[in-house]
Amino acid sequence: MGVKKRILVACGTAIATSTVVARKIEEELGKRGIEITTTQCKATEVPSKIEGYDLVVTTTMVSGTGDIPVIHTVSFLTGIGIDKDIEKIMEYLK
Amino acid sequence: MANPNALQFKDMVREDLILCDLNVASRDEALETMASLLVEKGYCEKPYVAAILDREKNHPSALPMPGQKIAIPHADATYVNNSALLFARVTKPLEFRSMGDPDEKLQVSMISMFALKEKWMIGDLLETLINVYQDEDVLDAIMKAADEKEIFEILKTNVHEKQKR
Repeated sequence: MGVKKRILVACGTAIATSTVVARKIEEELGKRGIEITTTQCKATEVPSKIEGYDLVVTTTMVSGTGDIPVIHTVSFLTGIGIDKDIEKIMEYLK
Repeated sequence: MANPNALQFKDMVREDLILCDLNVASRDEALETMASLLVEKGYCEKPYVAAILDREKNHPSALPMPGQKIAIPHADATYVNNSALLFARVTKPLEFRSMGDPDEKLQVSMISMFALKEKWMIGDLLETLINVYQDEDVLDAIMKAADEKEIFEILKTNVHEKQKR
């Protein structure tokens, strides 16, 4: 395994939902034997924090992400479509 | 590190913090009624009401769960005296904006309002709540429950606390 990939997890306020999303991603990828690190931030902080991350996962609209891939989803909260989003994340982290 | 003696979801679910037939005309009226109840009961200071309304306007909190549409309005700890978790089932669905796409409208039937003094708790609590709501059968049972007591029992028995990490 190489260096752990880094995912920036954004939500409106970085208080609540991003915590749950970050944990679910770690848990789901962990089940598949992939270790990653996550950092939480507010959606508005994404442009200033994005450097050095491999992927952004967000529950709300974000902008200023440049070339870094973004997955905009609430699946980790609703439970609908988690597997599909995990596949997407794995594809981006390859 | 989480404190093992800290309040857990089960301690937060209280029968007197469940409204089983909230009859209001709009999202804001629901939020105002609920937040005012937390103020009345001493859990929050008065500005919490405005904070909740403001937060929902800027950061919509509705989510389409597998069964029903729900909303999880919350604000930060500033005006919170004691942590509380207030549930309201509404008599007719209310239009909220979707968290994932603010242009999308969702007809919300169940609202869970968080007022947390201990900021670090919110991840655990929200995760627990989300896990309850992801179970379509549980959410369905909550929607059909006869009264506050029944909703209270359903929430209590279907909560599986996360192992403290």
